[in-house]
Amino acid sequence: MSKIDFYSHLASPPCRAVQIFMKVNGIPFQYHHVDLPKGEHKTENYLRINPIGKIPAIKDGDFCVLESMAIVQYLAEKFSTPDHWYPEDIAVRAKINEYLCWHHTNTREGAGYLFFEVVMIPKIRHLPRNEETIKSEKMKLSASLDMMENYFLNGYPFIGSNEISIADLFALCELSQIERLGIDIGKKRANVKAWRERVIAKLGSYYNEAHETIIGFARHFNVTTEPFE
Amino acid sequence: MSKIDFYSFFASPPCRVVHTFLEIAKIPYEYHTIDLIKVEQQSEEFRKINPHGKVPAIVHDGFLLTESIAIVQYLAQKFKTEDHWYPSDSKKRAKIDEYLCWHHSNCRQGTGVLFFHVAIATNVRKQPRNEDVIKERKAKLTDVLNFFENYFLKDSKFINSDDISIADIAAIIEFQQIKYIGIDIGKTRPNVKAWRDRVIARLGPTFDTIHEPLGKMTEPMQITEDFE
Repeated sequence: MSKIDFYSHLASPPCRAVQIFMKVNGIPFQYHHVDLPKGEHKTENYLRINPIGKIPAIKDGDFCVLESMAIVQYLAEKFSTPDHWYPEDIAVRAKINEYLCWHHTNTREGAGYLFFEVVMIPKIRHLPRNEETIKSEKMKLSASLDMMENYFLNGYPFIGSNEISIADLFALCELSQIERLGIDIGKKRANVKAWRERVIAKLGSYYNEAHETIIGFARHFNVTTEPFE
Repeated sequence: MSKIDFYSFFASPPCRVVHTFLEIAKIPYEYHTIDLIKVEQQSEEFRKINPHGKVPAIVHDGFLLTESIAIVQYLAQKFKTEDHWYPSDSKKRAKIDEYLCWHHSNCRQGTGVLFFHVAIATNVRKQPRNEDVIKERKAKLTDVLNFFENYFLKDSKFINSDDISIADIAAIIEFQQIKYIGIDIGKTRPNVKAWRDRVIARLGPTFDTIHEPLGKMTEPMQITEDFE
């Protein structure tokens, strides 16, 4: 089978999730680095591949898929990955889809947007911190972690399931972003703490490899610990 | 197969998405009103059914599911609805999933929050208009509609497809909401206009019936919000 063309920047949580999924499942791909800081995602060349101008994107021959979750769902089927990633069982799949839907305006907003406000705004755009927005995003993050603790991981070792799935991959890749701010997501949440360790163990070296970019990024910008309870 | 217990409120767009699909796909269900204005979603009775305390929710043979998109995906598969609603072909499905993912942080963000600030905050709660948020949400809506015009509907009659799917239901429900504040999404966008008319025609009288209570609620407000 020919390689998947993968357009990405590993500072982005959704890009990390797609890369880790492909590596763990031995899916052959060609990595194309999209230089976000230089605005490469807005260039004509890239917009021809992804008219929405975002990453990640994949091309399977001439067939293009945008949106990281849609990408991973497509690849799981095309490459017949082990069932637990995105189960055939309609009810189990539904619980994974339930998390994936909820993720966009909860985990992603609480974690990804917080990182953006605390790091990108002052360090890259050289604008003052918006403390009101940061406070609101911390509340979102706290509420999201509570939902993980009390609902999605209540009675399950993984999100809504007894086995690891793409839901766990997307959740942890997003939360790992704010771990760069020195935030310990498992500090007061025993289910989240245990889940995090379980997921990292399952993903092995591919997890660390995918995070090298964001770790280097945080180091380069001297990102310090952000208070969070 | 037993029927779906469906917990819903007319004023919530995600609830109307599920309601529309249940009706159009002729899936047997029982409608349970959870009055959000009376904050019934926080009641002990509802929390026993759904500890999450949110609508829409379904319970099917003891199986609880929330999140409107996950619910319609489940219903399409479980009740083996007509293939075009959620195609089994992996490439066709991937393009529908692409929209469904994008929907949460885009379409929904451009319409729902705008409607809230213009209709509810100002008209119902009598708060002063938050012009900053309204302006920001209109800018979002402009981007969203441009993507519809130039990408999702560029080469197809429906969203990323030649036939109607659950993606079109999710989108049309959000856009119909802002019609009640006087916004015509097809005013300057011919692809969007044609798509909207096509989808509403396909959904038929079901669509109008489901929107009646919302129409009754907003009609006295007589809002015509500026938008190009």
